[in-house]
Amino acid sequence: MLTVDNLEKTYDSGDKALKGVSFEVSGNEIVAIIGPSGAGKSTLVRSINRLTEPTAGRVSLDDTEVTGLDKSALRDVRRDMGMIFQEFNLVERLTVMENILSGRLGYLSTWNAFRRNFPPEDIKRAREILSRVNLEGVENNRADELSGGQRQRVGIARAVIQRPKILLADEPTSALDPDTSREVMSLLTDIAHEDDIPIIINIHEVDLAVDYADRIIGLSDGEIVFNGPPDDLDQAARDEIYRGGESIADREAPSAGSSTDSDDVIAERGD
Amino acid sequence: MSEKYSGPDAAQHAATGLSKRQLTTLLGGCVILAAAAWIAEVDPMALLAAGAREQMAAFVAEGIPPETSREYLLGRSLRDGLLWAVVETLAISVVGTTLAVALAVPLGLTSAATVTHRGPLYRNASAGRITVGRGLYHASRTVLSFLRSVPGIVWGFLFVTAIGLGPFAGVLALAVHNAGVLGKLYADFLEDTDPMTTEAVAGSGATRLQAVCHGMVPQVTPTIASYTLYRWECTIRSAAILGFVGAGGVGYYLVITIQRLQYGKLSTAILAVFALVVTSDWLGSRLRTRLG
Repeated sequence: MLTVDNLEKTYDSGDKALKGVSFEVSGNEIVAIIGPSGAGKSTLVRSINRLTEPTAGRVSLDDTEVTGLDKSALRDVRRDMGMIFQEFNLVERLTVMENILSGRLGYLSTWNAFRRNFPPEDIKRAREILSRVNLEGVENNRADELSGGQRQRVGIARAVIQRPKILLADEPTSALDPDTSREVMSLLTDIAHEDDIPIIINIHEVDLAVDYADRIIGLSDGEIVFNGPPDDLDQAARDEIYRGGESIADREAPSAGSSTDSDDVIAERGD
Repeated sequence: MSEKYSGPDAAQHAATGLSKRQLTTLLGGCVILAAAAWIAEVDPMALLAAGAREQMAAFVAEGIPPETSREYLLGRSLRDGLLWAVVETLAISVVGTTLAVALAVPLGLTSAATVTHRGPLYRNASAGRITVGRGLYHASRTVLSFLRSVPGIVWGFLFVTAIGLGPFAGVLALAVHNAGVLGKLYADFLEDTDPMTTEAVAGSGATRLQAVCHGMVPQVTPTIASYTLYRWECTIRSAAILGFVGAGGVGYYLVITIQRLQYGKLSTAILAVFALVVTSDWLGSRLRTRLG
């Protein structure tokens, strides 16, 4: 079970991205986080495994408090959290198989990792996952030879091979066309049910969230303004999340959707 | 100079010719060039003076045909003669470049800010760790700058003084100078990698070293291999003049024939260097195409 308790994030620039966010995720629940650009969706998901360091509040996975762990303990808990990215973030020049196996690096000794000496069971499992994500036949292709949908499935496979206790997906469909987005969403829901793990998906397409999620969390200006099943997401709730007078359709323009979230990332990267 | 797309204000001024900014740049460039020419004592008349023409005519007359005697080309023993010197030059460049890579890899890693203290690998790092990393980065960059700024031939002179005449001094000279060149290239490439990819590897619980080896380095290995091969082509040219200071190779023949005014032999030596450079460039570009 993942518990997020009163989580806050204030960037060095003074922007308050999260203003005390609390929720719980358990079982094999699919939780979609929706909200307008700049609401803090990306910051929230990235704060769970501390790719973004939260300023205050707590994140706990089962009995482990993730916030406040030292470096090596953080590495251990990160092995239990698979992450899927908007831009896939594969090593383009490595093969599909090498990219998937990199999800097991956290379990290897430095020397074995250096030699890419993965145990046979990891390789066997990688092959099983290849067929689960429907990538048989391209395992020896370089990642840059694949289509967007195939690349995202490599990204999912890399997260699944970790045997995570939870999957975090940061805008996993934003770089994909509508049909491929649906394929990726149903693949994610299949994985949640088969592996019996919860998934938190930060997504800006509300229709996809409604169709695939068990629960929707609406984020607005760093605060949770909706937390319930998709059926409860009526027009009033949508207005509350996307308040400000603009129609939802305007807010959903993909360029607007991704720019602020990547600003979050860039703000983090400053030296 | 192409006016149309060379600057932000270019489009507005395309119709009226040069923009004000481009004019300033052009004028500034001319002033700098004129100053440099004055400092370099550029004097076109010196080339055309009667004495200069005579000397050049003499060189051409005596330099043709090039000396091709068996004794000059093959010498009296295995390690003698011009052809051996050419082979020795090649060998110096190969061993020198290999040693340079061996030095440049660790120095390149410690000179890349993304490896030592910046970016996604250091998001959860303590302030102390980042300070140590930054110190290592600056120290390592300074070492690289120093190695690079001393020319290969000066390193050659220093090593000849230290260990005596011969090609091994040349090997060390090339290794040290090119470690500086390659190390900086490797570091700059590593700093230019996609941080999101590295972050993804680190996010799955990999250590920093693992994220560097498996997230960062694979992004640049083909580029690095290609540039290293190019650098090897450059070391052939450097190795050809190391003989000037007695550090082995064909340069010895160049300097000795110049000093003794043996222009026939000098022509042969120049042709030999030319053949060596053309061959290695061809080989290098073939290999680089296969890497790409």
